[in-house]
Amino acid sequence: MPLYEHVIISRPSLSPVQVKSLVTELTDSMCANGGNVVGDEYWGLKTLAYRIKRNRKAHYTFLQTDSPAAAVQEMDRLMRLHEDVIRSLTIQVETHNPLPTVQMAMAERAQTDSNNKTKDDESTPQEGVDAGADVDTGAGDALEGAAAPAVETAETKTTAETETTLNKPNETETT
Amino acid sequence: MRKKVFFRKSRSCPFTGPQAPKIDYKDTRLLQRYTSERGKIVPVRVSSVSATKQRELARAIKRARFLALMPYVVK
Repeated sequence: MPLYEHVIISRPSLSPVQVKSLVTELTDSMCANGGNVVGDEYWGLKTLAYRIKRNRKAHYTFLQTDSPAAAVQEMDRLMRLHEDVIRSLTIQVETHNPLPTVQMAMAERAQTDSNNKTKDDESTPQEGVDAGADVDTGAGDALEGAAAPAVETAETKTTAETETTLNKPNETETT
Repeated sequence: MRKKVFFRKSRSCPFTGPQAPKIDYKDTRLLQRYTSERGKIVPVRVSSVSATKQRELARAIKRARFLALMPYVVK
């Protein structure tokens, strides 16, 4: 039977437990049609590189399956109709790469980093950075640096506006 | 025919050979090396990737973009 890889992106408002039940719901329909799940991974709540349906983060689930095409098509159809799945990708592969994937390793590293940070009582803003998934803290700092001058220009603009309004009555008096 | 003034020594494709990394749409760190600062895919004359591997790479980058693992445009 052909081998497939699926990535399921679900809404951030769900809890991890709900995400899991959503995925089992989908895989049950596939297994009922003769497929089976070879491997699955939960990459966590990741920041999206761009907004999807006005969401900046989403849950990522990765599946490796071995099932007939009809079962996969059925699962795809259900994913398309499901309102909690905002995006999904199914591709056929020749061989399954051994787990854990690179994304899972990154998720685990991020998890251990956050655990260590809570121990040390340091707070660095890793969440809440919009652009760029797989954010390195360097990229995050660059974005924050970019935000600061934008605020400054806004302030200078308002002062310029007040100056022009002050100037106007003087000009009319001279004319 | 004009002789090339800056003749670059022909570099081999980084994806062919025994130690070559596999092109995977999930491996964004590898893929980001072949996109520009703006997020555009780097052309072959700059990256010296072979033609078949460049097609695989482009396919992987486009899949990663679809999955929001990489941006389409970086401002």
